[in-house]
This record gives sequence, structure tokens and C-alpha cells, in this order.
Amino acid sequence: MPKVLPDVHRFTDASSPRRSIDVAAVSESTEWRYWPKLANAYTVASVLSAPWTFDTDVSWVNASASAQIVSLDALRVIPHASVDIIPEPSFSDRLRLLIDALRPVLYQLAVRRGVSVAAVNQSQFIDPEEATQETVLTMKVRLSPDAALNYWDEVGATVETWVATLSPADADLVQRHLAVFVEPA
Amino acid sequence: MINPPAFDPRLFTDIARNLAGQQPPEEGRFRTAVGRAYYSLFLIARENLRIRVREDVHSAVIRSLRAQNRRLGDQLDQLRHYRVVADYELIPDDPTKQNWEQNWNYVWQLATRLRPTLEGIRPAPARP
Repeated sequence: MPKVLPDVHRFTDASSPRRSIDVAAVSESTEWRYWPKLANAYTVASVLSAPWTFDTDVSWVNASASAQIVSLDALRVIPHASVDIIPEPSFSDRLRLLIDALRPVLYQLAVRRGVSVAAVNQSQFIDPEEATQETVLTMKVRLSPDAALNYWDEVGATVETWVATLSPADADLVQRHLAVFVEPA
Repeated sequence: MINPPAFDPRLFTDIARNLAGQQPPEEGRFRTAVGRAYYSLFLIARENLRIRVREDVHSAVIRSLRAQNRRLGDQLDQLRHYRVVADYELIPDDPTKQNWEQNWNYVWQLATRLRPTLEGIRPAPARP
């Protein structure tokens, strides 16, 4: 249910002004994850108290913002923002473990094929018209667009083989909530 | 009463290509073309997989494709992501997706590759 929070602070990556995260300021709980849909930024935070301090899950915040937050500068305060408060989905920890297991599989394939990986970015995707959400692992490879699409064939087959080794519950989790993309760097 | 013939979703691909090819290049046309290209493939896949749900149908189609061929499902999903950016983000959050001619060229390349496979896809056989 939407709930009015006292205020929401927006922080922006100084090196990339379009990347921002919004931090809901609350004092009573550090356990909630806040996902306001403000300026299309997935907002994730549990703020302990003033002065504003991120909790230990800051890496997850960064991942969901699809950016390495280098330095944070408060730009403005949006008072009385209305946000949907959703507890962190129960599957997220499990999915994170699965992603940690998949990453080396993808790197090993790249090494075997001599493909240079520029980056593997992790982000969150929510289709505004649907109730589902995904974690997206995007491999940025130093290949032409055509070669990157050819390489995606191999990545897809590798992911498929890996999924086949998982328990039915984990396999279902991966099929529903994890996307693996390959893009030219 | 006789139903009219069903719309052929492949026509959306032609419309997308014509729209994107018009001069001068214009962001709104590229954005619309991205959306039509995605819907063309989504509808082809949905019909061939005989998916009839209405709720979260895009995810259902992608999940069903992934179960048959992981790469196919992920590639259609990537087109869906572009479509969402095209229709919702006035300035794309991802700085690498702010050039719409470039986005369109990539989407077109991916869609052209995907279409023949999606046209041949069938529902997975029922498990015993």
C-alpha cells in the first residue's frame, strides 16, 4: 500500500548525472526496502538515521541502480513522496547466490572462446505493465554487433546447460527472474 | 456471425521498417518502430506457443520461450526492455540507450534474426 514518507533524498552519481538513486528517510526500521517509482529510478534503501548512512547492503543498492555509485551528492529533497513499500522479495537472496554461481560459468566460456568481456552489468527490470520483475545480467563484449549476437547463441546454450543442473525450484527461479543479455561494448 | 480474418502480426515489422526509414530521421518514429518491432515478434510467439493468459502475458511468453531455448527467450526479453524504454522513458535511464537511431538499428538487427525462428516455434510437448 502506498505510504507517505517524511522525505526522499535523491543522490546522483557525480560522474554520471543521469544515474541516481532515491533514498527514503525513515527512522523506525532498517529492514524495509523502498521502491518508489520516481523518475524511473529504482529506489532502494534503508536509511539508519541522520546523518544519512547507508546500511551494509549498499552493494545491492548499487546493483539495482545499475551503476557503481562513485560519490554521492544530495541534489534535492522531495518532501512527502508517496511510495509503495514492499519487503524485499524472498527469492532475492537465493537468486543472488545463483547469479554468483553463473558468473564464473560465463567468464569461463568467454575465456574458452577468446572473447574479451568489457563488463558484466547487473540491473533490475520491472515492466510497468506487469507484476513481474527481473534481474538482468548484461555481458558487454568487445565484438561487432553481429559477432556479439552470434556469441549470444553460445551464451544461451551455456546458460541452458547450467540451468539443467539446478534443482527444479532454482531452475524455475532463474527462468522467471533472471535475464542474460549479450551486447557489444 | 463470421469472424474477420486475424491480423497478421508480421505486418507490424513492415510498418516499423517503413516508419524508421522515413526522412528526416526522427526520434518519435524510431521509438514507435521499436515498439512495433517488439509487438510483431511478441504476437508471433504468443500465437505459435498458444499462450492465452491475459495477465503478465509478456512474461509468460518469454518464460515459455526460455524453457525451449534460453537465448530466444532472453532476446525477445531484450526487445521488450527496449520497447519499455521507448514508451516510458522520455530520457532513457541507461546512457547507452539515448541514441534512438542506434537503438533502432540494433533492435532491427535482433528482430530480423529472431523472426524466422519464432515463426517456426511450436508449444513444447506436454511432459508425461
